[in-house]
Amino acid sequence: MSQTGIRERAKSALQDPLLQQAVQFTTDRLRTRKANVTETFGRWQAWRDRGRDIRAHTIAHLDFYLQQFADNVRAAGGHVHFAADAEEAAQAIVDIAKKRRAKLVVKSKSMVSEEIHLNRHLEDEGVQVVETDLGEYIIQLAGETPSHIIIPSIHKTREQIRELFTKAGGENLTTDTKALTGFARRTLRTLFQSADIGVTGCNFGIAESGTVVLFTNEGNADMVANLPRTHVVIMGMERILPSFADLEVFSHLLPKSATGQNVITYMSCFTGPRRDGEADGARELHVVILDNGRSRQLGDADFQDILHCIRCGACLNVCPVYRQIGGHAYGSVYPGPVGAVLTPLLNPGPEYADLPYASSLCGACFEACPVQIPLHDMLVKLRRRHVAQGLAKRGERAAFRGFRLVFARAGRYRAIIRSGRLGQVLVARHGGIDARIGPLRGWTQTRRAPVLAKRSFRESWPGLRQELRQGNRPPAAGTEGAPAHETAVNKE
Amino acid sequence: MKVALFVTCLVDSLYPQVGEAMVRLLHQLGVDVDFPEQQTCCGQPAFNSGYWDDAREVARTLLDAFDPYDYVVSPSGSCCGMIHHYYPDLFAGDAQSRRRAGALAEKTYEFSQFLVRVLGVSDVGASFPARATYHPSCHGSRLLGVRDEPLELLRHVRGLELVPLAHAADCCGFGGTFAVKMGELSGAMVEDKVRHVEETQAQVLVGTDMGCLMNIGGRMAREGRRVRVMHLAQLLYEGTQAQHRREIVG
Amino acid sequence: MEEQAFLARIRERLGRQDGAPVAPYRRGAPEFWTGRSLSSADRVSTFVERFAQQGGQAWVCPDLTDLHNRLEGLLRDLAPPAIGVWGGDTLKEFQIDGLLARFTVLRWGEAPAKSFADTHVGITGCAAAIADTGTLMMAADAWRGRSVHLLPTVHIALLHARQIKTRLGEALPKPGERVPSSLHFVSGPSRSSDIENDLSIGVHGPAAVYALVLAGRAT
Ligand code: SF4
Repeated sequence: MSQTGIRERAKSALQDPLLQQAVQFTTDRLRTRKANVTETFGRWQAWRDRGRDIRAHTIAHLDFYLQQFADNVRAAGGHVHFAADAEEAAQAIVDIAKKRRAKLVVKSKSMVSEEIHLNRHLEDEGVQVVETDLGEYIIQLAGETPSHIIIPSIHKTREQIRELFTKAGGENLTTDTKALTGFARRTLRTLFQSADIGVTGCNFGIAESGTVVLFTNEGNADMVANLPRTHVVIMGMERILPSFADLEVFSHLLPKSATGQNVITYMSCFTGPRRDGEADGARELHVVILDNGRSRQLGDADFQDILHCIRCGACLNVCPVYRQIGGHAYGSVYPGPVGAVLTPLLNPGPEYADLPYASSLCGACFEACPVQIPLHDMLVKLRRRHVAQGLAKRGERAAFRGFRLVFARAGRYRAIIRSGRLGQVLVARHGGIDARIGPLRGWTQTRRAPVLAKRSFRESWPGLRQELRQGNRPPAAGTEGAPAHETAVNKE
Repeated sequence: MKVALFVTCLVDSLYPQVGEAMVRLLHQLGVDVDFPEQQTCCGQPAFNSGYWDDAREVARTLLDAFDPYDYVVSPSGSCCGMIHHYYPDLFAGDAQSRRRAGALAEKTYEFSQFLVRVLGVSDVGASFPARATYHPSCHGSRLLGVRDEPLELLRHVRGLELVPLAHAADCCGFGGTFAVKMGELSGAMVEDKVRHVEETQAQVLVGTDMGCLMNIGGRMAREGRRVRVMHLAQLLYEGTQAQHRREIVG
Repeated sequence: MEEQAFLARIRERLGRQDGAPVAPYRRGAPEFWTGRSLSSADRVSTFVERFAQQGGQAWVCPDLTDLHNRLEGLLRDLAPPAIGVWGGDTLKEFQIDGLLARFTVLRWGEAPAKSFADTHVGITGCAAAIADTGTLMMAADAWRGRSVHLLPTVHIALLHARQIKTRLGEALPKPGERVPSSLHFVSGPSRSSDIENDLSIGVHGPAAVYALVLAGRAT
């Protein structure tokens, strides 16, 4: 829960050059790699179309596929729990932990577990929880939350990581990547063996077989799922694919979009717990399926598509806002463009109503999205919803009513421009506005604002038209002057 | 062919010279545009801020203004993008207006699009000996699909050295009211853009949307940079004038 | 929440009736993708190349003798204190028992599962391999423990050239087919880029993966 608004949080993030440097370096690399791998792979748009079609179909028939999935998980010997909200989901997992008398839970990366604040719930019951994804491990040691969907520790430098690991018991560690990952491997290996429960997320649930599919690079999820006695899967209810055939599509879309990898290192498909005669794998499999505001999006033409999201993080990597402020400034579990849409949808009300305004609506997210979710349109529609719900500021409402009064009638508009020119005489200097107070201060703090032209286009139009009609040779360009700020530059 | 100019409120009130350059250039190419005066603004500021009712009333000025024309041409990819991409949503509740909006979208072209796709012109005969770089506007490229047309026109300008802009497709941070509402954030974005422009060592920054150019130019002016900021129409028109002069001199 | 209430809410939001049929849709990969297939020679060479791109190393062995030489050479270099292998007859066709006699060998199904945590090399077969992505498909059962290839530092997979498919879709279970409890698709060694986007290998899973592809007919 955040006390401040996105604007204040963004402001403080902007004053953290280390954060910006780290985020920009990594997102640049990820997006370049993505561009390269999709280019080599070819026909990316056709893959995106197929991805969107499959997701749209699945979500439109989610009741059917979810039922099929649950039935097949049970047929394979697993247990299924349905949770209406975060509280129910966390409680279901706490109950399993209690029943198993669990002391230690190991986890692999799961955004949904963050969404339900699982660690806090388990720790409140005296259960130790250890994150085993390297990035999650780092931020758990730092007592922070993930700042990127795919790379939770994107904001951490190796020096900061060395300090955290040293505090956690790593002696004489250097900042060498090998030394740091070596420490994590040794430390976590012993924990995998002694943990009572392993908790993972779920990238896709295959309805036709009741299979839970995980995409990972490190292999920690396999340790978490296979070594402890009990494997608990926590998944958003939308994370379904009808068939293995569809998984082939996402085996390309997901890793290529997320990190620019041609293929994920480990794609792990669990169908039920270990079977008779098998000597490893969890003996018990639980799948917790979470709603938590998702079903509210169904049937809503404006927002249903947000459930198509496969959490690849590609929209973060291309977002010009995310690259400036990183993930924490969003103040919620899901950062970046997808977070700016998803968070207020899952948590309606004033708390996150300002997130959709943290966007210039440039559309880079939509362009990057492997399933073509129109995030930029959704941001506008969320703003509209907030206005309709009366969550917008009163002054703003008045301003746009004024806008309408003026701009809906050409005559009024013309008159206003004329009087505006009079008004700005007071603030304009050298052909531009630099005053850093007043309604434009957001702009003028960093930029010069232009002034109204001496004669608007519509005022010069009659003369221009006449001149061209008479076939006069057009005068040399530039006599009307260059853009205001440019004139200002020349004068200074 | 009856062609109307949709000048946009920004160009009308702040940058009339852009509209004028466009009209003059089209005139040279044999297209005489008309300027129906009922037009004001596409409604985007209100629309993007969530005030759709207000936006709709303003947008109607365009439906009325451009009804009698075969083509509408505009110096803004963003405003054309608004018409193409968002008018169907904006007028969703009103079948008749929606039809009119659809008809408007079909005949509305951004300036470079109009030259290349409608007139079939990629060489306007301009000459402009300078080092220039091009910033594509987000809405022009992503909502409207104008990607290659401006570059094609620029490639045909004699003497123009077109240098690629790093992270060209990244938003400059304008975003209409975003630039005021999230001023610091928008300021950080435009700083990056200006840095990339400077790295090109270009003398001229060219664009197809005065929103972006006002933003980038405003930042450069604050920093006292001497990069000339021009709309594509200005560069092309001035280029033809230079050509003209040279022919006279030569 | 009760399951049927949970699903009913979804149905209601979607405006669907209980038991309403599912509309047809375009399933699986695009046709231009499913329609292509590589010749058997190309499958092998593509697999070897992509497997290397993923950070593994694969060799094509013309016959068993060559495969044995390769394996022996690898094990000589690695000098593993303990080797884990699949159990039962699963690797019989590769005839490696003699070669392994000099080493401490733990066989899946015989040695306790937990003891595989101390193996340095794991030797396995695979259920299939995928040329497109340089991937090994591992399917678990009583003799094919998951730990054998997951826990050691080095994983060596033995396979026949004919096991290599062109694309993933050919290896995935078909509708109605019995799906193993664990299907594990492995493409190269374990990796992480979580520290300043600097790639590091062998974070949790094996740090090295080798594949010995036996060409020609199996015995
Ligand atoms: S919205 Fe699209 S790009 Fe963003 S995380 Fe989801 S699937 Fe990926």
